[in-house]
Amino acid sequence: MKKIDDSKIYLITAVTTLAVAVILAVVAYYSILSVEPKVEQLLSAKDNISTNYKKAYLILRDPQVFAGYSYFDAEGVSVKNSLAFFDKRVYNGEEIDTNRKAYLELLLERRKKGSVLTRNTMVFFLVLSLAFWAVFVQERRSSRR
Amino acid sequence: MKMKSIKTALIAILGAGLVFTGCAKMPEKLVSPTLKIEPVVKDNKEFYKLSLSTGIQNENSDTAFVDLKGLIVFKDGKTRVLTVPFHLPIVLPFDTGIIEAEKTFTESEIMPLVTLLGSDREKLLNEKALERSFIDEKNIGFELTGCEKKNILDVLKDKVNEKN
Repeated sequence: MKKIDDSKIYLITAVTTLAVAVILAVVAYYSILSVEPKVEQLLSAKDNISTNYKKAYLILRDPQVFAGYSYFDAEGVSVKNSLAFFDKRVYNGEEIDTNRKAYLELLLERRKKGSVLTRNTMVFFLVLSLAFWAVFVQERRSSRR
Repeated sequence: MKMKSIKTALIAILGAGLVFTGCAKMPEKLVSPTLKIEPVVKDNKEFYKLSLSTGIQNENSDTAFVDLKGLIVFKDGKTRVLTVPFHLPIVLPFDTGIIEAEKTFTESEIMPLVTLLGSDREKLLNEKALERSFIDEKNIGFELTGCEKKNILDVLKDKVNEKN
């Protein structure tokens, strides 16, 4: 009986999972290497605190893909309340002082958790891709024999 | 052939974008409506002043309702008994826009509502006011006549730039 060559299926799956991993890597590391340090820098400002905190909030108001603001569990209620509070403050042009820093850090923490989740998912897809590459190479070798 | 695929992909992305932009959840009911009707005399004529306090909730995370205009509708079944116009400049995400409306009506205009709320002219005049804190959802609702949906980030960025 002729052996069925599954290498094409393995190749397509390996490439697809690798593509997903690359996209997730870009999303995760853009936040980890660019957005989060920028927010941390703004939150550690010693002068123009209100202006810098507002800038930090505007960055944080655009959520990380894996840490959106649409759904909240019991733990996330404080994030929801913080968003309502800061939206109102920024819209009304009110100052944001150092007493509110902890709530901005809460939003940053949520973004960081989203980045870690994205990175871990990327690793999962990368491992999956590597496994399919290995199976693909194995299949090619056995079909040549 | 390649150009055609790119065009198709772009149309699909734009289409999906439009669908998602239009997906903001619109408010469906009023929050804790309370009202007061009191007789007032204006130019030696008897009128009735209706003061209404209620709220409209924005349950969206990223959409602000700007220039929200509409009518509070008192109804008896499907019959409209009375309408009160309202306007809210903005309702931010996860916030409740507070409506404080006041309007003066003639006796013939207000009495159907007074009856709907289980009172009558004599009782209202004797007690000098009719107040209700709990109004059955069947008897009160609202209709939106205008509302602009804006992304909260755009609203906040505009405000910050306006101040600078």
